[in-house]
Amino acid sequence: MKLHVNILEVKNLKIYFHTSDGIVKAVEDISFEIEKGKVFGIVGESGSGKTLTAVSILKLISWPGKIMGGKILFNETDLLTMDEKALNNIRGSKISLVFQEPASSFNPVFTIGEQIVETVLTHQGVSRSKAKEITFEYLKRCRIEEVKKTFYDYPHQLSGGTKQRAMIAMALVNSPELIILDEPTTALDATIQVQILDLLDEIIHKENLSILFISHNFGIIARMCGRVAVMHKGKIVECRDTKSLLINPKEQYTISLLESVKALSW
Amino acid sequence: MAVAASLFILLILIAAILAPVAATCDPSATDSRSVLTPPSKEHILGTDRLGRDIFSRTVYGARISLFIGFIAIGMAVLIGIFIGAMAGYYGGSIDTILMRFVDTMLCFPTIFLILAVISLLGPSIFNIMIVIGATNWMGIARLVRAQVLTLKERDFVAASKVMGAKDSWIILRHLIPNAIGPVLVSATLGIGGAILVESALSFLGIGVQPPTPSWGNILMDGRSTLGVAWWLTVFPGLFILFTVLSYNILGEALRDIAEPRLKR
Repeated sequence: MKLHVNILEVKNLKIYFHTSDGIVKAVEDISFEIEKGKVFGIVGESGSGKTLTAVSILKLISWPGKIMGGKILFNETDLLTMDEKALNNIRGSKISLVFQEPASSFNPVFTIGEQIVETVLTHQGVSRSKAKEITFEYLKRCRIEEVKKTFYDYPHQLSGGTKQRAMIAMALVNSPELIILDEPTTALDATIQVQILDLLDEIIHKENLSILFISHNFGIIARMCGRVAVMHKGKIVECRDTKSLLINPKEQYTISLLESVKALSW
Repeated sequence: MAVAASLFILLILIAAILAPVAATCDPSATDSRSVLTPPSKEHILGTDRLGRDIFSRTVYGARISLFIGFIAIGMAVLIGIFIGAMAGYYGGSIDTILMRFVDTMLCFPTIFLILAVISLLGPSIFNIMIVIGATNWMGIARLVRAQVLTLKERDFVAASKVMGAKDSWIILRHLIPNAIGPVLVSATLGIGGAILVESALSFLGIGVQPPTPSWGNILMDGRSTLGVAWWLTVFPGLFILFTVLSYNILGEALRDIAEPRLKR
C-alpha cells in the first residue's frame, strides 16, 4: 500500500491561446500533485494562469484557449482524454468548483434552493423531496441562519457572504472528492472573509476534503494550505511545503512577492 | 394608457372566449326582413346585406382574429427563441449560417411572401397562422441571440457547467428564462401586427373565408355598401384599430418596464 495517495496529478500541462497576434502561452508546462485529504494552494498575481489552471482541470476552457499538452490525472485516470459525457459525470459530483464572484454565480431568475436541488438531482438518483432535504442539511452545515428563508430567496435578496456560503453548500452537496476554490473570499469584505475562511477550515477538517485553493493572498494561503505553488507568467516558480516556503523562499520572484506583502502590512 | 389598453384587451379576450354567451344573435343567421338596418336596440351595431347581426359577427370575428394572432406569434416566438438560442450559444459557423438565413428571410417583403404562399397552399385559418408565424420570427431570433451572447459569459452559466449540466439544460434553464423579457415585449407588439396582417389578408379575400367571420372579412363585406351602410365598415374597423393600438401601447409599456433607460 502506498503511503501517499494523490487525488490529482497535473503533469506538464500547457494551455495556449491562439490569437490573431500569435500564440500566447498562458500556462507553460506546469506540474503539481494534490494529496488526498490535503489542501494545496496556488498563489500568484493576476494573469499568472491560476484560474486557467483550475478551469482546465474540468476541461472548461473555451476557444481561443486550448490545452496543448500534458496530463491531468484524477484518481489516476486522465481527464483530458475523457469524452464530454463522462466529464459531465465528474463535474459537480466528483470535482466541484467555487467561483470568486458569489453575486453572479447564481442564476438571478431562480431561487437559491431550486438551483442547489437541481445540482443534487443532476448527479444523485433521489426524489425531489429527498434532494430538498439534502439541500437544507448542507445549507445548515454551511452555517446559514434562517435556512428555510434562504432556500426560497432569490440571489439578489441575499448578502454576498450568505451567497458565498450557499455557493459552498452547492459545491459540497454531492460530496465531491476534490473541491477547487477559486479565490473564494476575494470579492468579500474583510470580516466576511474571516467568517468564510473559518467555515472552510471547519468543513475541510470535518469532512477530510481534498482542496485546490487559489488565491493571490499569502495570508490566506498561509492559513489554509499545507503545500503551495507560486505561479508567475504561466509557470510554477516554486512549489513546496507552505511553512518552509514562507520562512525560507528560494526563488527571487517568491521573495519579491513576499516582500510586497510585508510592505503592505508595514 | 397602459391600464386602459390592458382592460380593453381583457374585454375583447373575454368577449371572444364567451362568444356564444356575449353574442346577441347567431352570427350566420340571415334575416331577409331586416337587411342593412342601422344600429338599433335589436341590433346594436346594425345588420349587413344578408340581415346578419354585426355585433355578433364582430364578437365571433374577435375569436378568429385573436386566435390567429396568438397562435401565429406563439409560433414565431418558439421558432425565434430556438434559432436565436442555437446561434447565440453555439456561435461559430452555426451562428453564421442561422443568422444569414435570418437576413435572407428579412429581405423578402413579408406581405408578398404571404400572398405567394397563400395562393399556393390555399387560404385557410391554419395556413394563415403558419405563414404569419413563419414570417415574423426573425426579429425575435435576433433579440434572443443578442441576449444569449451576453448571458452565456455570465458566471452562473460557468457554474452550471462546472456542476455537470448539459448544453440543453443550460439553454433551457439558464439562458432562455433570462432572455425572455425583450421577447415578451416584441411578441406583444407582434400580436397587433399579426391581427393587422390577418385583417388585410381577409380584406383582400385570401384570408379567412366566409361564412366564418373575421374582422377583415366583415370589413370587406361592408365595402360594397359603404355609401348606404357606414356601420358595416366603421365598427369592425374601430375594433381592429383599438385592439391593435392596445397591443402596441401594452407592448411599449412592457418595454418601459423591461428597459427603463429608454423611457422618455
